[in-house]
Amino acid sequence: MNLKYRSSFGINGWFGHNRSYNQVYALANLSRRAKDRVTQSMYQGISYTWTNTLTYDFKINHHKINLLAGTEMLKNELSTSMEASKSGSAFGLPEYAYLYNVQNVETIGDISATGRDWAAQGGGLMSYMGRASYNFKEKYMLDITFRADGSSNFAPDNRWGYFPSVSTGWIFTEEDFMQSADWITFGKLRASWGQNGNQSISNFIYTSNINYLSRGYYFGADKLVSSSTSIPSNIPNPDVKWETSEQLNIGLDANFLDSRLGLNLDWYKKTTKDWLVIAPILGTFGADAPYINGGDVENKGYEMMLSWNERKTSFKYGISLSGAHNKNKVTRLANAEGIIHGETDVLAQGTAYVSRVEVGQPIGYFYGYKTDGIFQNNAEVNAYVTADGDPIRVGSEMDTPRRPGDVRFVDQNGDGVINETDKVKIGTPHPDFELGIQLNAEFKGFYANTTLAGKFGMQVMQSYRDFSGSPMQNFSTSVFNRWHGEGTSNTQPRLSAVANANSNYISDIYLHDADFLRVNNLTVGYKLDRILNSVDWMQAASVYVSVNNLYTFTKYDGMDPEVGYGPDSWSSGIDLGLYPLPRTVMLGVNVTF
Amino acid sequence: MEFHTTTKKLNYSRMKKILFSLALGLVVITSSCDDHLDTRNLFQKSTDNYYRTPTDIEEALSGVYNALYVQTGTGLADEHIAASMMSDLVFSGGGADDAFALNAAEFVDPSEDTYHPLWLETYKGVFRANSIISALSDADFSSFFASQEEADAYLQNALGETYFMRGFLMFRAARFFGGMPLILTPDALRNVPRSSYTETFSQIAADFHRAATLMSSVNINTTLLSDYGHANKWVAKAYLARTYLHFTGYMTNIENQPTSEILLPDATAINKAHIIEHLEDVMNNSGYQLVTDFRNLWPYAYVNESAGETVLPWAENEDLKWTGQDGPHSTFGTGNKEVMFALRYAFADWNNTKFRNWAVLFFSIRGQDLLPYGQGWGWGTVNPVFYNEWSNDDPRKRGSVLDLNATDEGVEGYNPDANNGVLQTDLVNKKYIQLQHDGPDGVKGLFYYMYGPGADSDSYMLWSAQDFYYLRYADVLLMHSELTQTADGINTVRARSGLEPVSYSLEVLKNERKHEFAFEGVRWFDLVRWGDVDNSANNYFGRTATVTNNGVEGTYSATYRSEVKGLISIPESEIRLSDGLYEQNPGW
Repeated sequence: MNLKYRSSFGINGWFGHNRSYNQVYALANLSRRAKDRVTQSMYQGISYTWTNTLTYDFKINHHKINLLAGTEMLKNELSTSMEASKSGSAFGLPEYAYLYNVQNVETIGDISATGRDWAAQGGGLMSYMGRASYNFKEKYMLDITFRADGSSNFAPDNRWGYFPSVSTGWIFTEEDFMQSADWITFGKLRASWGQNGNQSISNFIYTSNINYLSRGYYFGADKLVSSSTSIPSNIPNPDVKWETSEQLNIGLDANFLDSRLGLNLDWYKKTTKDWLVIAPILGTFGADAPYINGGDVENKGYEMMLSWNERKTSFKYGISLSGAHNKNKVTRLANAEGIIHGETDVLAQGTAYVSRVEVGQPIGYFYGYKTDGIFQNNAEVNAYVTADGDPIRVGSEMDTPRRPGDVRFVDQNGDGVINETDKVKIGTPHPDFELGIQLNAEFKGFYANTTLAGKFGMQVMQSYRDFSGSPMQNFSTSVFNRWHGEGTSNTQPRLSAVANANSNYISDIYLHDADFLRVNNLTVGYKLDRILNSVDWMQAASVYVSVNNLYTFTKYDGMDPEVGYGPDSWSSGIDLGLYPLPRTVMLGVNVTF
Repeated sequence: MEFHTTTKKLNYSRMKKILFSLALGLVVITSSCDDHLDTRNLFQKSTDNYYRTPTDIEEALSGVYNALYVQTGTGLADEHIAASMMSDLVFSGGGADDAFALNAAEFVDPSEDTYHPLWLETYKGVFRANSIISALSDADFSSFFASQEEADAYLQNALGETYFMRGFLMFRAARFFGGMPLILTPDALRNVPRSSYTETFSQIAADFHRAATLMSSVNINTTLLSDYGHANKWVAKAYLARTYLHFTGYMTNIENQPTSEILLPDATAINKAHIIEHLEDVMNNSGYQLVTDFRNLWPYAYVNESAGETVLPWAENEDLKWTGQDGPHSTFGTGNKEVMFALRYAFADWNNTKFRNWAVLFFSIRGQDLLPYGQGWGWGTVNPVFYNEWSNDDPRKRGSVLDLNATDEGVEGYNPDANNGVLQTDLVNKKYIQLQHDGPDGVKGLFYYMYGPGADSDSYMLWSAQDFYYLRYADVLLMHSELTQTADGINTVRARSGLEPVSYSLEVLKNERKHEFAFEGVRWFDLVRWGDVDNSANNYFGRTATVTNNGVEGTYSATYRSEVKGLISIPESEIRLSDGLYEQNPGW
């Protein structure tokens, strides 16, 4: 039968409950709890996805055609949760931590309860799609797809996004003129262009909403419960719409020498259009910033993978090497300034932002002062002058002359003052090149495989202390390498009792190259197959030792060069001493019945 | 948990079901797709359906007042702390870690956004106020009241109070920042440049003027305790006077442009005679009056009563009886008819620290718990030069300053070397200071025992629920004296502290204000509007005093930098976001 109707109804359900107990403690003035607290919560939800498709296959001579039309609907039926907590339990023990066991509460703050059903607000996703596939003799292929997606997260006028795509393929090894080429087993050229959408923002961004504050203002004699208080909570953006990701891809897949050698080549250009982002807004707006369709971001690059697999009687081995180069660039920003600034107070309290987005630059690049080492002696300080011979001064401490041990900030504009206008791009958190290596071998039941991954060309901004807000905080041992006399350091300034521009100015003294190559996994094992030949009920068995995160080759001095953290949704590469990747060792037995 | 049902093969027995679901599918596709995507916000109201009832308006107005609380990591975005740090009556103090404090006091600002929270809260409040003003302009609340007149009166008062609050938030910020962007409607363009100093204060005066006109004359003795904390007609009039004095003084003495009136945006000119009239209206009709003993304004007058024993012998000897801080019908104390407007602080918890009085925590004795005085960060130590020049015959001196070497204050255990403090002077302001006593829960804060906030606020860092007095009736009297150049107001204020009458001179007035309002966040702005920041004869800048730093004796003098023209820095991040629209203030 050529016409097929397929209806698929998927239900996703979840439920759970939680109970927690916070005990009394008094560790310090700032770290104490005078009354124990009992919390119980429950949640429950159901959502369904219903997909209906009609497909029609037909063939005219060698022309194979497949048509598809369909709809898909996602709805959240139920998404309810309730939570309550009370302080001052009768038993004071975790086993007895039930709300029932707190009989008498002393103050209003000792009780809290809340409950909501998000699904009751309605909404979901609705999609219509159509596809036409064409195939000629398994040689030429063409796919055309069109989707219309509707999401409740946008205002009615902007709910629908339309996403077409086209892909073509040519298996050239099927051509007659290639039949005599024995060295190539399979070869395919691919090209595709397509769009898809992203709607992952919260709902009601398009309307101006009123929020109630749990603590508003204290009129009258009551200082414990505030007057009922409401505020307009957000700046509405009725124009917010789908973010579109557009991808253009040209590639080649080929196998050579009886499929022992494999090659994949890809060139791509992926453009995120109408990027959904919360961009900081002027304080004069007077409420929280909305999501906006903030701009366009382009990723361009190529990927290459080369693999070799060979089997020689009892010895089997394989090597695969992959390399990828990507270039990230912001091509448009919606706001007037053409720049989005990141959060401030990142590396330390009271310091400037570290990351920013700017047209023509990689997203979230590091921005700050360039430095040219540390003044080693008075002669160097005296030579720190403008073209006219005037001493260069630092904006935040105009009256303080430089001295040996201070950072030599680069006066980019040559005006004799180091200030905001001298800030430049100092680095990027994005690698230029990513490398992957996979090796495996097997010999008479013994096997070993390993994967390595490396990233190169990116930087990390590092700060492990609140150097500006609390200069008395502990240092790491790197402080021993600070400047403390001529020739001692050209990267770390002198220590001082109070924070000054040396540390407070965000500069490349916090910037570190973070190139690394990591042995992600090494597994060594033995297959017991031969020993088990006589056992019927067991098909295969092996024992193995596997180590994850075995070793990282890097010059980066922090805990982990692969830092994902960034305070903004788009920033990354900021190392504030977050928990590093652990090394795990596993001993395993694998049995198949 | 996840399961799917899929029909793949067709057979006759299933055919009906399939056709049915296909039909159903088509129905869904054709008719209900947009219904399916429709949503209703069940957990938030929207501005489209809000501001419709008196309850909505009261909740929304409370939201405007909420912007009075400013969350400030460094303490400096709190107006009371910032205005104190910059003034000449106190030193920055604190510890070696508190570089922020010293920087503020010395008018340097290496940090990015020291005063950003003040800027942000200002515009949050302005947006909230604008939303109410715009909704009330065409509202009809007659269905909620017995008569149209009552409904109109309600609307006028609500509108007047909202105008007052918008003016107040802008006034609070503009005295620090200078000219600011003016945002006058909820949908007004937000990326506008800073208005000039004159335009900004003209708008502020217009808001106060409108508030004073719209709100009705109600004697404060007839207002309900539950409404205490709301601004009223009298407060609006007094703030119009403050605005007049500040603006004309600033223009005349800092900008050197002799100015004697404020021109409102609608070209109404407000001159000295108008302001005097407003003040006299307050003096004659409001019901506000001075508390009989200046010292009864401050919570130290209540600590013995709260403790149920004498923990502060000095207060016992002087027979002090606190007036409370909840107005004429205050729950605690004897009733307070002097405080006209206050920031009504409450208790903080660790997730919401902005609700406690920041200055009380920051200004209290550094790191040392004494009875009845509690500890804090030791900022704002009193300048000994000022203290020593202050006559001992003025009871306000001991009523305003705690000498840590005194013998009847319960501070015998004070150890100046113990606390790693810098710029310490053994003199602490007594108006805003932690007070504590023993009780059933042990030694806890005075307000902790008054209100019983519970475990979440059980820390000296959380329980300073003392209101910050924005405006006392004494200021109405002294402003009246200053404007009329008569001694009546001064002498009324002096008389209640048992001081001899004097005849009027500007110098006498300045001294009176300095002593009456010391440590209340008033002095700095007085110095600015009189141009006395630049006149060493009339300030304590540059006067060397003895201090201790980490227990080691040294000297220090408060400083000022003329280039800043009495203003603070505009937040750097706002300047960047404005894309060249905002300019930084001079000297920063």
